[in-house]
Amino acid sequence: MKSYDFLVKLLVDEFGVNAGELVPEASPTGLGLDSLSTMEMVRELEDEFGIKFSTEQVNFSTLGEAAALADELIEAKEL
Amino acid sequence: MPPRRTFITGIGVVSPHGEDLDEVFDRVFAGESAIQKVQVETAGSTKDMLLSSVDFDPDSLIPKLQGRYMARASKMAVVAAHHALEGSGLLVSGAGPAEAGIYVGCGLGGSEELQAHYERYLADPPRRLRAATTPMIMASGPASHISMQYGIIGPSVTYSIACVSSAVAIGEAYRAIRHGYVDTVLAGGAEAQLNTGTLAGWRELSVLAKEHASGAQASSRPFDANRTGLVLGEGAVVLVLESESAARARDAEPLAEIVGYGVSSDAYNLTEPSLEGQARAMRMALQDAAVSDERVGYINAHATGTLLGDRVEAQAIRNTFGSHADKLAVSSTKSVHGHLIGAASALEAALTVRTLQTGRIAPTANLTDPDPECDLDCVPLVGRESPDLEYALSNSFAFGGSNATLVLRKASG
Repeated sequence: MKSYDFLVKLLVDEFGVNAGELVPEASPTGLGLDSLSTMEMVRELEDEFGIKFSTEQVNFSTLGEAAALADELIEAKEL
Repeated sequence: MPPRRTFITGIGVVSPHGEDLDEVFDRVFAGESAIQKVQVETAGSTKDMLLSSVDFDPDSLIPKLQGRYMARASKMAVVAAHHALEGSGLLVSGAGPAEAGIYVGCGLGGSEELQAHYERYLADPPRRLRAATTPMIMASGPASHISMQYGIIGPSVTYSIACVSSAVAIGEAYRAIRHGYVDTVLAGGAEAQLNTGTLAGWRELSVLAKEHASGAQASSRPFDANRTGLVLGEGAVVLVLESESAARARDAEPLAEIVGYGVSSDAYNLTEPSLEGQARAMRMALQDAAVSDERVGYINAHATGTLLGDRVEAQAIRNTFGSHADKLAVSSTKSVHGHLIGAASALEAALTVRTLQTGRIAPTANLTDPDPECDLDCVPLVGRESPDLEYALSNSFAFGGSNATLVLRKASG
């Protein structure tokens, strides 16, 4: 879950999300992120780890799901 | 519907002289300059530039997540709108009047964001632009963010016409109220161009003032024989305009009244002014106000401190007013706050409101050696009392040959 830790730090430092709200089950909309913020969050994740979410993969429901997808993409890239 | 009167019932400023309009005006009246020499980082070097910048803190009003998508001009506009709404008594639980209009002038939108995003895009190795790049740089950002911040669902429009942006925004808002399209408007301007790329462009135009021998604060010298150009500034100013009936319905005290507006185009040259175009805007504004020339006592001039611009405006004023030009007080407050481009007219309109309220005319600071080609009473160095002042003009002229004049009247109940 290295991408999850990155997401938590990103959302606190750059998006101003309260750290107490950040749990794997949290949804982007529940955290106050609109579509633009969610897109920016994914871009930051992609740029950090050199990965690329597909259009379908961007439709994740929770932070934990986004992090798991990112970890899969990172692992696939490293193989 | 007969034409309706348009009252100014609130003013909010985020200016180089601060955010309290009474204090700002007092400092301008005292000839106190906000212009400073600032080191600007440029590609490969550092340059000293004369700037009139704003020190403000938007964080108490704008959450971090929201601010992430706001350019500096938008943040300043939201803060200025807060001050204006609060002052007018129209801010209720953080919201503004829902049906109001928002008419904002802005020249370059998020130019500092454009620069920052392009820097990363063109870096080695390059990074993608942010998903938010496009909505962050649009000139309509300030109006959009005022709408979202204060829950205002009326027309939200932006006028991007260089240095007349906010004069036209205020003038068109006045017309919209006058002719019954809307009862209340937040009208003004916002501009934040003091970033290295934009400043480099201005520098190459050779219109920026050189530092005066007696210091940076003496460098903006409209109408002075030794003027060397303009000083760039930044800021945001929002005026609350209300129809007479809307203001009276809530017993709002008018600060002043907008009674005339003229707007014209030179159809002449991209950067050179036209005497006839400027005079036409002033004549149109006076006709719109249905006020005789003799009742006008003061003009807050556009005069930026360029050799040609100040002379053309002085002559345009003389051509417009004829012999009454000799009885007019004409001052350029840009001598102390610099040129705020898209927010310039709004700041100068706000200062003109204070002029009418207080009966005190701010001077043209640094005017120690008047240019004989600017043969008007330009209120050199020292402000003056003018308790009988009833009507005043605020002139604004722009690159592209756009001219706009507002006529303001002392609140008369």
